[in-house]
Amino acid sequence: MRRAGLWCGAALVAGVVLMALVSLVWTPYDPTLVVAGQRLQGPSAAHWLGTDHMGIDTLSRILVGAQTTIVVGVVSVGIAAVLGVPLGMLAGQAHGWVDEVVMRVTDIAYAFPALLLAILLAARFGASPVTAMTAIGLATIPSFARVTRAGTIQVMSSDFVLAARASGTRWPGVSLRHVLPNIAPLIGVQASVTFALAILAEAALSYLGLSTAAIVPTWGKMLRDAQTVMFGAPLQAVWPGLAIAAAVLGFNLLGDGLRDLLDPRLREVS
Amino acid sequence: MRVLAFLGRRLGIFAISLLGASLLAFAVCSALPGGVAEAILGEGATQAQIDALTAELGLNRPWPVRYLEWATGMLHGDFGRSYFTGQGVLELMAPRIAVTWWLVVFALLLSIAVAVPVGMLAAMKRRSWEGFAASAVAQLGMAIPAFWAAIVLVLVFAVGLRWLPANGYVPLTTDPVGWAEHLVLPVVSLAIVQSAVLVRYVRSAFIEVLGEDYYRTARAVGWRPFPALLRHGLRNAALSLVTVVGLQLSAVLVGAIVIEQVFTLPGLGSQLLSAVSQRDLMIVQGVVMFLAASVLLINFLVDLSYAWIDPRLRAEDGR
Repeated sequence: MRRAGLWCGAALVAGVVLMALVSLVWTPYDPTLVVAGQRLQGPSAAHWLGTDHMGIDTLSRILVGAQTTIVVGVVSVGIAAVLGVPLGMLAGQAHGWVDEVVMRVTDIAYAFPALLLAILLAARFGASPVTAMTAIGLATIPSFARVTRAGTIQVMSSDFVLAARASGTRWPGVSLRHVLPNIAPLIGVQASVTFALAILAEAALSYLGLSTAAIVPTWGKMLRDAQTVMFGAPLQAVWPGLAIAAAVLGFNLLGDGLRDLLDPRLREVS
Repeated sequence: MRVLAFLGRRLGIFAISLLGASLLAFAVCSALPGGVAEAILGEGATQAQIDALTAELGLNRPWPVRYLEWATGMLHGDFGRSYFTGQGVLELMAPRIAVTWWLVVFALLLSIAVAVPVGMLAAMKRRSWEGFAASAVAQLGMAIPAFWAAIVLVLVFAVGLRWLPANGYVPLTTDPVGWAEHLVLPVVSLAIVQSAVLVRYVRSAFIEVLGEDYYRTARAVGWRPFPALLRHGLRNAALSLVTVVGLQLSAVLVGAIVIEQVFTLPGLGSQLLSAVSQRDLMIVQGVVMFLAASVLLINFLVDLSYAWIDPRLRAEDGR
C-alpha cells in the first residue's frame, strides 16, 4: 500500500516532466497566439480544455506551463541544495561554536517565510522569475542544512568513518568519499519535498503577479487571469489548479515514498 | 534558575532574530543604493534628479545612521513614513490589522478543530481503510494551493449557489452578520490546506503515543481506546503539536497575504502588495518587518509554552 504512494508520485512527476518535454517540440496550438474570435470557449474537439480570455488554447498553455514549473523547481532546489548541503556538512563535522553558529543562523532564517522574502525582493528588484526562484531557493536553505547536518552526524559516528580518519583521510576526503554518498538519499528526499514547496510558492507568486512576464504561461498566472472571467468561463479556473495540485502531489508522494524506502522503521510513523 | 536560563536563552534568540529580520528588510529596501529615489521619479529620471531627491530624503546619509533611526523609531511604534504620501506606516496598517487577525485566528482554529479528530482517527485506524482514506485526503489537501481552493469555493458558493459573497469585507462593528459572511470562504480556503498539513503531524504524534507504556497500561486497566488517548495521549502529543501549530501560524499568516488578494480583503497582505506595485519601499519595509516580527513573536511564545507544557524541558538547554 505504501509503495503505491511512491509509484503514484513517480508517475505524476513523470507526467509533468513529459508535458514539459512534449511542449518543447509540440503543442496543439501556438501558446501565445491570440485569436480574438475564439475567446472563452468551452471544451471542444478543437480545444480540449477550451480557450482563455485572449482566445489562446488552454491545453497548449498548460503544457508550456509545465516548463516553467520544472525550471523554477530545479533552480530553487538547486540554490537551496548547493548552499544548504555544504553548510549542513560543515555543521555536522565541526563541533562547538561553528556548529552552534551555523545552526542558530539557520534557525533564524527558517523563521523568515519564503513568500515574504520573495515579496521583499520583488519590491526592490522588480517582479521576475529570477527573484522568485532566488527567494524560494534562499528560503529553503535552512531545511537542507538541517537534514544534511543530522545525516552527517549519523554518518560521522559510524565505524567506517572512524577507520577512514584513523588511516589518515583528511576531512575533505571524508566528506566527499564517505559522508556525501551516504547522505545523498536523504538529500534526494529533501529535494523532492522542496520541489513541491517551490511549485506551490511559485504558483502563489505568479498568481500575485510577482513572478513572470506577461507572455510566459505559468499555471499560477493562468489562475489569476481565469479569476477575472470566472463568471463566464468557470472551467478556465479549474484546469491550472488541477495541474498544480497534480505536480505538488507527485513530488510530495515521491519524497514520502523514498523516505519510507530508505527507512523502513519510519513506515509505521509517517 | 534553569527556568530563567531557558527563558533568557529564548529571549536572546528572539532578539537576535528580530535584529536579523530588520537588517534584511532594511538592506533590501533602503541600504542598496538608488532604489527609493528611482522608484519615486520613475524610468526617465536623470542621475542629477535622482541624486537631488536622494539628498532631500536624507538617503545619502550612511546606512547605519538610517538603520538606527528606523530601528529605534519602531521601538516607539514608528515604522517609518511612506515616501509618496508621507503617511505613517503604522497608521496605514492599523485599520487593516484586524482583518488579517480575524482571518488568521479563525483559519487556525478551524484547522485545529478539523485536524485533531481526523488525525486521531487516522492514527487509531491506521491499519484499516478509514485511516488510509484520512491520510490520502490529507495528501490531496496539502497539494492544493490555498488560493486555488479559494477560487473554486467562490465558483461553487458565490457564483454557483449564491450563498456567500465572492469578495469584499464588512467591519464587525458595522454589520456582524455581513462580517461573518465575508469571512467564511477566506477562512475555509486557508484552513483546508492547513488542516491537511496538521492531520499528518497529529497522526504521527498519536501513533507515537499508541506505542507508549502508559497507553498500554491504561488500555490494560480497562480504558477504551479513544478515552485513553484523550486522557493520556493528548498532553503528551500536545508537545509536538504546539511546535507544529506555531509553524502553522506563520504559514497561515503568509497564506493570508495571498488569500486577501483573492477576496480583495483590506488586510495587511493587500497593503503590502499594493505598496510593492507602487514601489513604495518604506511601506514594504515596514509591513514586512511587522509581519516578520509577528511570526518571530509567535515562535518565541511557542518556545515559552514548552516550559509550561513539559517541565522536563526547563531542565534541558532547549535543543
